[in-house]
Parts: sequence; C-alpha cells; structure tokens
Amino acid sequence: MIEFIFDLFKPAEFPIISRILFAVLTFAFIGGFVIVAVWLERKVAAHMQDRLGPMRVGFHGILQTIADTVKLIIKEDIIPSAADKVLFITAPFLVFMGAFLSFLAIPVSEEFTPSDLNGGLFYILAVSSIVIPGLVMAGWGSNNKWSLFGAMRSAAQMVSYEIPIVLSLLVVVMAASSLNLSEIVGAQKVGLGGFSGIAGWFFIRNPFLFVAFWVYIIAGTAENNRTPFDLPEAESELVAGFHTEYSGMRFAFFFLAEYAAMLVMALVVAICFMGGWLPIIGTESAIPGFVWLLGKAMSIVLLQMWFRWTFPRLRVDQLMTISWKVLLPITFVLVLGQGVWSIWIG
Amino acid sequence: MIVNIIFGLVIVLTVGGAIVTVTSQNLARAVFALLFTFLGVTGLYFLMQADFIAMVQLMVYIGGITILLLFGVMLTQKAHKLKVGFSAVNPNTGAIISMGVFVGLVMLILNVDEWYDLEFVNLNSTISKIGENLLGQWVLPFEVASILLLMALVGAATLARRREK
Repeated sequence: MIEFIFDLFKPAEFPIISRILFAVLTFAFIGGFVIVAVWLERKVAAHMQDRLGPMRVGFHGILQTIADTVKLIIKEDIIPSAADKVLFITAPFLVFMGAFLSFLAIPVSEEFTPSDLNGGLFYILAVSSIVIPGLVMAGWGSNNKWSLFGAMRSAAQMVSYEIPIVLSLLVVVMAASSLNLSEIVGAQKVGLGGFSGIAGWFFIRNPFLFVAFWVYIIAGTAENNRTPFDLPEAESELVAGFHTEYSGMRFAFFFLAEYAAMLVMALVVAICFMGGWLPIIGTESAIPGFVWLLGKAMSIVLLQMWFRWTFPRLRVDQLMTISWKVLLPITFVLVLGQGVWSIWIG
Repeated sequence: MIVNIIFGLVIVLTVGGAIVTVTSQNLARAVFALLFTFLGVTGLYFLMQADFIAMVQLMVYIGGITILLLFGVMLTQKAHKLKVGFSAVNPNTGAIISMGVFVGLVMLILNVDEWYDLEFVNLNSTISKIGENLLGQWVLPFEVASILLLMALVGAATLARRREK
C-alpha cells in the first residue's frame, strides 16, 4: 500500500496523477506556510512593540491563524452590485496563479527539482509578471476609487522595480554563467581559494555580488508591495487599496498570494545568493537539503518582517526616486563590474 | 492523449479570449480578454517546447503590452462609460484583406513538405543556443536593435519630461 502511494508520485508511471499530486502538495505547502507566517508576523510585530501578540488560542496563540482561516472560509461572500462581476471574480485567482506557478522551477534539493528548466530564473521572473494585470483587474473590477488608485499605484511600482530586480539577478547569472537554478546553486559549492560552505555563497564572493544581494532584497520587498513600499494598500490613504471590496475566501486568496510571493522572493534570494540547499560548512551534511533551503528562506522572510515594523512608509516620489535614480544606476555599475571581475579575477 | 487535452484547453483560451476582445463593448474587458489570449499563446509555445519564446511572451506581452494598454484605458476620461460600437468602417476592403490573409496562411500550411515531430526534435537547451547565436553570428543586428531601443527609450524620456519646467 505504502509503495503504491510512493509510485503515484513517479511521473513515468502515472503521468497525470503524479503532476496533480505535486500541484496539490505545493498548494498545501503554501497554505501551511501562510498560516505559520501570519502568526509569525503578528508575533514579531508584537514583540518589537513590547506587546505579547496573540496568546489565547493554543500555545502562545499558535492556532490563532487557523481560527482566522476558518472564520474567513465561513464568511459571507460579498460582491458589490456595481462591480464588474467577471473581472471581480477572476482577479484573485490570476494574482495567486502568478505566485503559485513560480514554485514549479524551485530546486528543492540536489536530487529533486519539480521541473529543471534551463531558464528557471527567467521563468520565475516571467511568471510573476502575471500578478500585475491581476491586481489591476481587481482594482478595476471593484469599481471603487480607492481600489483603482491602489491598483494603478501597484502596477506602476511593480513595473518600475522589475528593472532593478532583473539587473541585480543578471549579476548572479553572470557569476554562475547559467540561468538554470540548479546550476546556480552548483556554482556556489566552492568559493575563492577553494573554500567550501559559506565562503562559496554568492553574496560574499565579491563586492558586486554583495551589493546586488541588497539591491535585490530592497527591490524584491518593493515588488511584493510590503512595507516600507506598501503604497498600493496604504491604510491611512486608500483604506486597503485594490482589495478594499473583497471579503471571505476571495480576500483570503489575495492574502495567500501576497505571502506566497514573499516566500518565492525569499527562496530566490536563498538560491541565488545564499547557496540554496548547500550547508553552511563543507558540502555534505546530515541535515537534508530542503531544510537548509527553507531555513535560509525563512531568515529572509523574518528580515522582511523586521523591515515592516522598522521603517516608515515612503512617499510616491521617493519610491520612484529610489527605483530609477538610485537602484538602477547602481545595478548598471554592478553588471559592468561583475563582467570585469568574471574575466580577470574569476 | 493528455497533450491533446491541454492543447484543446489552450486553444479555447486563445480563441475565446480573442473573440471576447473583438466583440466586447467594454474597453477594459476587451483588454483583460486580450490578456487571456496572450496566456493561451504562451501555452502554445510551451507545448511546442519553445520555452524561451514562451517566457519572452509572458514577460513582454503580459508584463509589458497589457499593462501599457491598461494604463491607456485608465487614463482615458470616463473609460467605463465608453461603449465600443460595431459600426464597420470599409467593410469590403476589410473582408478582402482578411480573406486574403486567411487564404495565404492556409496555402502556406498546405504547402509544407515535412512536419517536424516534437518527439524527435530534442532541443535540450534553446537558451544557450540563442545566446551563442545572438552574440556570435548575429552580433551586429543584435547591437543595432539595442541602439534602436536605446534611442526609443531616450526619446520617450525626453517627451515625457518636456512639460514640466
């Protein structure tokens, strides 16, 4: 029986069932991650503000998010009468699809990658651009001024920050001379002077990669519309931005998409700059690769939560200045510098 | 078998989106329907194992063109009240041109001597081959195209800047 269940996961024997199973498992994993991440975010926020946060449901409130999820599921599903119903209903799924499809190319460990695409990094960047029309669809379909303003702000912001993201990842691609995510991790096995472990990770390999790491973290935070770049859903100005009119399960899908996008960004950082499944010391370890990958990704998620409760929100003009006048010139220099470094130093 | 089912779904997405784009009287809906046509075309490229073209399609058409069209619609005054009519302009010329294009395409398809079967074309790495060709044999056209795009970029920035003093 157990062997039969394992056989179901082999694409060679059950081509359709195995792929559906992978998709369902990925969805379940995202759901589990979001439940933990929302609880973690509330706890991090509370402790940074010298509060306790959720404490009542379960040990230190660990079951709080599950209770909230149940509440969201059984809530009434309201569609405003003036809304464009087709667009209003489609939008949450389109937004979630952008984040969900990215997981296809993530190399989980040395032995297992759902789909070992040659252009894996490019695929993740391309697929995440589906999110932008999805957000605009939500804003337009809601037929609400706040929603529309939020959607337009988010579209402008995400289009602008896509450029520093692509260019900072280009530095990694030049260092690894591959777009394949498994090969990018493989290139981080041995660093300068033949040291393995953390010395091989890209973010400390040379000064250009180190700066590219921080540029990507800043631009990635902005791409996910997280504080200090959360202008599209700035509560004090726009109520809740593009998802003002959403409730119940449809709102939950926006929530899922936001946290899934955050996890994808953290996984890309872990793979491209922090050695993916490689351990901190040496190249072999008793801890399996996916634990290393998830641990590194979770540290980036925590960093983003730390940002959220530390920095105040930017103004629109400051947001655009950071993207076009600060990050963009820096990434140009980085691409040039990494090219020179690759040729002469190695 | 499964490929045929996926192909059918992709075709429904592509053609359905295109029909809604043409017949919808609501400008915003037409643009969003076009988005699904682009998604369907991406699926077609993926089915043909042209992974690089598929990703470029996603990046350029969905991440770029659709957004541009959406901004165009949203910056139009009272776009939500605007009804796009069906009044035909030059129906005869249009019919002749579209029939001509259709006949030409059918002729082209019928005249192909040999169809490649995907099972036998094993393109392991299209991306590295495209890269080698772009920076090897075709480096001059590639650079000329980049300069053209740079000129367009600078031109757009200059035009956008002129109004504020």
